[in-house]
Amino acid sequence: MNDDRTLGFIALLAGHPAVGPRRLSELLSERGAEAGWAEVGGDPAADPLATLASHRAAGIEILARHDERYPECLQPDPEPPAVLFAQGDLAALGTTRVAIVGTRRCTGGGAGVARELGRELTDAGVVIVSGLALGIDGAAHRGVLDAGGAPVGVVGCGLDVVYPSRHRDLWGQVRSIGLLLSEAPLGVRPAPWRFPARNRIIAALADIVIVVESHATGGSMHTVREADDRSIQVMAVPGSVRSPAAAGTNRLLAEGCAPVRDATDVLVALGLTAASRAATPDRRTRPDPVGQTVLAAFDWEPATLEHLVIRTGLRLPELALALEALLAAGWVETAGSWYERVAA
Amino acid sequence: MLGLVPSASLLGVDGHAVTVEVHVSGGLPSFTVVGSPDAACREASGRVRAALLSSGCTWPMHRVTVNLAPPTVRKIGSGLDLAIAIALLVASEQLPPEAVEGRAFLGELGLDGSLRPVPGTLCLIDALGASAVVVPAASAGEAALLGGRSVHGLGSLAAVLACLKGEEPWPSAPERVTPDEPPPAPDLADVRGQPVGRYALEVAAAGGHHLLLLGPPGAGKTMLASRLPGLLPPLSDRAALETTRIHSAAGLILPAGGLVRRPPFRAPHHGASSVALVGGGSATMRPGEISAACNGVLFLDELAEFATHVLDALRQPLEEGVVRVARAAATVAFPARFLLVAAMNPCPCGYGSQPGGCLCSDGARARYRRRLSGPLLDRFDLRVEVTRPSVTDLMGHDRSEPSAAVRARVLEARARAQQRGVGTNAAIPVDRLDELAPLGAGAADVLAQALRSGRLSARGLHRVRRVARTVADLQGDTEALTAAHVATALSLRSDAAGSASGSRALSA
Repeated sequence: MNDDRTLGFIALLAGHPAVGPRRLSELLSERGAEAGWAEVGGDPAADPLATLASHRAAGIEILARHDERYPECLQPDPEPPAVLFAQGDLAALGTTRVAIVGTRRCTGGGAGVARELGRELTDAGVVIVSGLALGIDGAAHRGVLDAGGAPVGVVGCGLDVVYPSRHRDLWGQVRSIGLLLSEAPLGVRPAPWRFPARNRIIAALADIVIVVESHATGGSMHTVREADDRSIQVMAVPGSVRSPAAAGTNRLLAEGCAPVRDATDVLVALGLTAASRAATPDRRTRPDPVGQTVLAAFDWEPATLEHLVIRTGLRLPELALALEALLAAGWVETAGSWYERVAA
Repeated sequence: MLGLVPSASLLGVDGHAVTVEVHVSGGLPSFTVVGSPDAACREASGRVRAALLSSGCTWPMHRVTVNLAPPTVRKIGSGLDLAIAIALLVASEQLPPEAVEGRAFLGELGLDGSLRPVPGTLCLIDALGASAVVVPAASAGEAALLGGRSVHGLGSLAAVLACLKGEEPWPSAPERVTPDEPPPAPDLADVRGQPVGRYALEVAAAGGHHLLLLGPPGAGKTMLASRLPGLLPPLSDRAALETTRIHSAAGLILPAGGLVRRPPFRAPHHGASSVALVGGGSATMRPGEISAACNGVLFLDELAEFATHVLDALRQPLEEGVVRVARAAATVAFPARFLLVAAMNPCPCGYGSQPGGCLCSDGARARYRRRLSGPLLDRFDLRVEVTRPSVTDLMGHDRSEPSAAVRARVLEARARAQQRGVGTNAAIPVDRLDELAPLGAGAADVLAQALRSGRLSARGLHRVRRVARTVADLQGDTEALTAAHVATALSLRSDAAGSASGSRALSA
């Protein structure tokens, strides 16, 4: 009973706007939950048991550090979360974890690589941790789901606040098949400072952090710093030197971080033997000669119609027809007025 | 002692006949203007008095009342000065009434008695019933455009009086000035590379499709857009007269021949108010930029920088080809059939449409896109991304095709649309699409695929078919649309709203 009160106060404290992860840890170790709530000027009428009950009713476990279900790997962390809110299957954390992170504003190629890595690493028995954000994060989670695995998502807001709202479906799938983790109790809106804090948990949970695509600055680079602080290996997927979305990852490579060409590179780094994977046959229909010319003209970079007309020398109607066929067959994707080659 | 002289006053782009009545009677000397004059019109007293004295006439030391009939029409501006002066001279018996019989007078007076042109002369002449009209010499060419009346252009009040008294012969009607060859419009040959942008211009010109150019700063969007008027055919007589009336009423400088023959190109700055763009104003009811662009091109550079309510004011005229401006005093309809060309950056930093290339935050991009309402974006049949060509791309090309060659194809394509009786392909009604733009077998498949993948909405479907019709017309194919025609039309209609890579939807 007393424990329940404490847990309820911890949840209240974690949702207090003036309490960040570090302050929460200090308050809990120096004052205890109830005294801490009074110290930060929390509403004395707040009912800790009702808070606890609402979390339990939503199927959310509140894991304090003394809880035996609290993830073991976070205990020795320099900045372990004082409390974790978990929804889903805690067993999904498994034993070997890889974080796949990257920019929200990714290229189609980058998203494709993230999804493929998610799928193939899951096939090899690795648990994928990511942040459920748009772009690379979402693609990695989808890759895990493709392979029938249980994804682990670490988010920066309350577990009932779906952010970004465009990922509502994905969020629901991760919750029902895998595991959602957060430092924030129910109802907490995403605040800018919560995302870097979330990134440290992603890094801390992982044995290896893979950056698929990152601009020169951004949240992924923050995750990389957090991983470096914890001596966790960082690997990066090489990208075109002309792609702004690969500027950050290419810099990481230049600074000596190990490259990821495919899932095997990651498995080797993890010390796992790469299971010989049967090459999945490509079900796409082969492009016709004009289509092949167009595909070759992409040069593996996003291109507009204008680029393609100039590179192929085709007339616009022929080119447009070939592109329609390539789009229909899945060789090419389009976003706005840009086209990208997504398959070899 | 009464003087009656016909004249006219301007409201919007329409002239209204006005009878100027001047009554001179005994009493303390005074000068009163009645009959809904605006401030400029009421100030006629000062100008008329000085002009009469400068021209050797006497000012009647009596009570003078000027009535501008009918009093229900608001009289705007200084165009009634000459008529008031002549009526006053008749009323004060300095001119015989027979001398002004059958003549109407238009023009503003200077203090020295000189006659100055007034805006909207063409519209004013149209409203006059008189068989002879006296106008300022500078407006004579414009006034003679309508024909059917004898037009006398004179430079001063003294010259008008001399003719009225029979001391001088009336000047003969001004000769039709054959317009000089207008200075050449900017030529497409100057645009290097940009094959898609050039083609989109050609389609826009041929089919009357509104065009949105997207691209980073410095990609050449403005350069392309300014080439569009050079691709359009010269205005027909009717269109030329309509545009000239609007330009005249708006006080724009008319070309040497008096008639606007070349499609106008109007490019208002993005700070424009909605009145400046659409027309109106509480007193003058001046036509706005969209009417000045009538039968020509309205170019809105930096589309997203225009105020949202200003852009939404364009939706009704885009649909109906006419803008009705209602004010407390009057409701005026301005013709506004124009080809809309707009240019914008894909996001605030300008690089956002390239996948992975944007520097803006999600919020900044969303705000930027919200400035354009979906219905407005939907009016653009053609949405094309223009990129900065790389140096090698630029150098690998010979000199580009000149405007004249493109215009020849545009004219042929337009002629095909005219034969179908729809004006331009952009105006094909939905219920005639199956008849005028039938789909070949392959074409239907391409459209079905685009609909299935969510790239095309049901609403966009009709627009794509119209553009495909124009693409086919430009190639000389008058039969059913082929897959290539439809694919081309689809590729010229990128999803501008979803162009940011952050919104990438991963499917399959």
